Amino acid sequence: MKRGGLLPSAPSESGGATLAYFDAVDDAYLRAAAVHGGTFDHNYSVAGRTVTVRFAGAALVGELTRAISHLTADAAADPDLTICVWDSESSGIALPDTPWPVQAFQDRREMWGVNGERVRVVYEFAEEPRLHVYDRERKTAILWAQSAKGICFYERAAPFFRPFHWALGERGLQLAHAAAVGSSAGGVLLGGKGGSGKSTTTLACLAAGLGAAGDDYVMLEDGTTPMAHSLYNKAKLFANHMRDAMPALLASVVNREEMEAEKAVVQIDDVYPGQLVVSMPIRAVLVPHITGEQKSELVESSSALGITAIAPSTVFQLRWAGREDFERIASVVRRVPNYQLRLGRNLEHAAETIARLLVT
Amino acid sequence: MPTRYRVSSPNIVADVIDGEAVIIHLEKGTYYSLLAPGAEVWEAVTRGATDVETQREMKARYAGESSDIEHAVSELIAEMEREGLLLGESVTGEGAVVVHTDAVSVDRPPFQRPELKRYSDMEAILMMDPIHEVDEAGWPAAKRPE
Repeated sequence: MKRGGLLPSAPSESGGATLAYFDAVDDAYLRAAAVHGGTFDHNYSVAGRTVTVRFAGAALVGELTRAISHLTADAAADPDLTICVWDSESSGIALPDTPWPVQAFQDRREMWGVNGERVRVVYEFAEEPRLHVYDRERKTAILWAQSAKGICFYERAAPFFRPFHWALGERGLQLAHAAAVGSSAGGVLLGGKGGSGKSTTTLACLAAGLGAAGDDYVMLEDGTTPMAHSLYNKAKLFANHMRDAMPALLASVVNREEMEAEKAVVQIDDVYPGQLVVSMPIRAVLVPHITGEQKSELVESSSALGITAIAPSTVFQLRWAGREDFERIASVVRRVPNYQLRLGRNLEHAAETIARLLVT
Repeated sequence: MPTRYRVSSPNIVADVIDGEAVIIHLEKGTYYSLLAPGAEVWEAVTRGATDVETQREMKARYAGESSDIEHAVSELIAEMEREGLLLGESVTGEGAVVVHTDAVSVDRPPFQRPELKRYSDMEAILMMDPIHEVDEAGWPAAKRPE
């Protein structure tokens, strides 16, 4: 059985079976909507593109909308992306059986397979099962979950991650595993794997009055000026680290009961009203490195540092991702100065260091 | 007999940035970085130069014992082959590839043994629990605790 699960190694087929399966899931979604007497529609502007999310029933609405509530917009006649959401528990409608043998999937817990050029399928079963199917031609994704319980904390903090990547990637945008802090006049992209100090730096900047477009994922746009667009308004930190470094935030944690097992999650727009920035020009890429010293400093570096910090962790988290994603990230990172942020323990000083860079 | 290499694409994506090669193995979940002169070896072999041509190119660019440079280049290429980044095939004669051997000068920098830095900290994202069971509808499922 194959391992991995990114674009090049994915099994593919002509698309006939996957398209038929998309239609079967769509039919089940419509029956679920009928059970609930229609859909609850929520409309968003994501990186300036229009997205409509249609919920068949209310079971998943709260779980999946709070993190993108700051992007709420008017309904669009022809959205760039429509996401249809339903669950089996509240509707009583089962997910259509898979037409593929298990061998078609890959040797991973979070796995996918059976992708054609037109339709993409990702089936995940880390906790409770979830399915994403996406039809490029119809610009429509369907998200199915067995129940609301299957929406784990990282999905609540970053909902619709996969359809945003697939659909908006075709419109010149690139989802990236990075934070962005600053203001609508200019900000910095913070890259690095989990535990590198990315979220700590973001929360330190917010505490110091700077804005943020996101603490974990942003949408990059390689336009006239490279831009970082906000996707999610939540920030998360390991509970023990928050206790040590930012104890004042503990009172604002929205998942207090689960924070030891998950991560402590705070709602940026609740804790720091007015500081969430929807879009910011990228002035520099910073890669935090925790030093243990008191003060922070910036050390100029090659853009290889920023690309290495952002591209691998992004493409490894995405599905149906590869060369194009890498190249889009590299293109943005190459356009601005790169620095290593030698992150000290005095977080106010870290925020000052970034603020000073932004005014120069 | 010389060996020509190609990137074992499409599982590999790479870029050379400011003299540093960043290489990602999409299937394995590993990524690599190579500084000069390793990045130049990567650039040469992926351009289509054979191992022998690449050795010649490095000897033209760097000062050092000829045999040391040849050995270090061979070792690096072999390591990249073991990591699944390159695929080699024996060739007869030399191809139409441009080989940069005209950079010889008296002030060539000293050759330093290249090091392929391997980062496997992302593997966990890809290599989570394998499929153990299949549910009644045919979907794969994680093994439930006993």
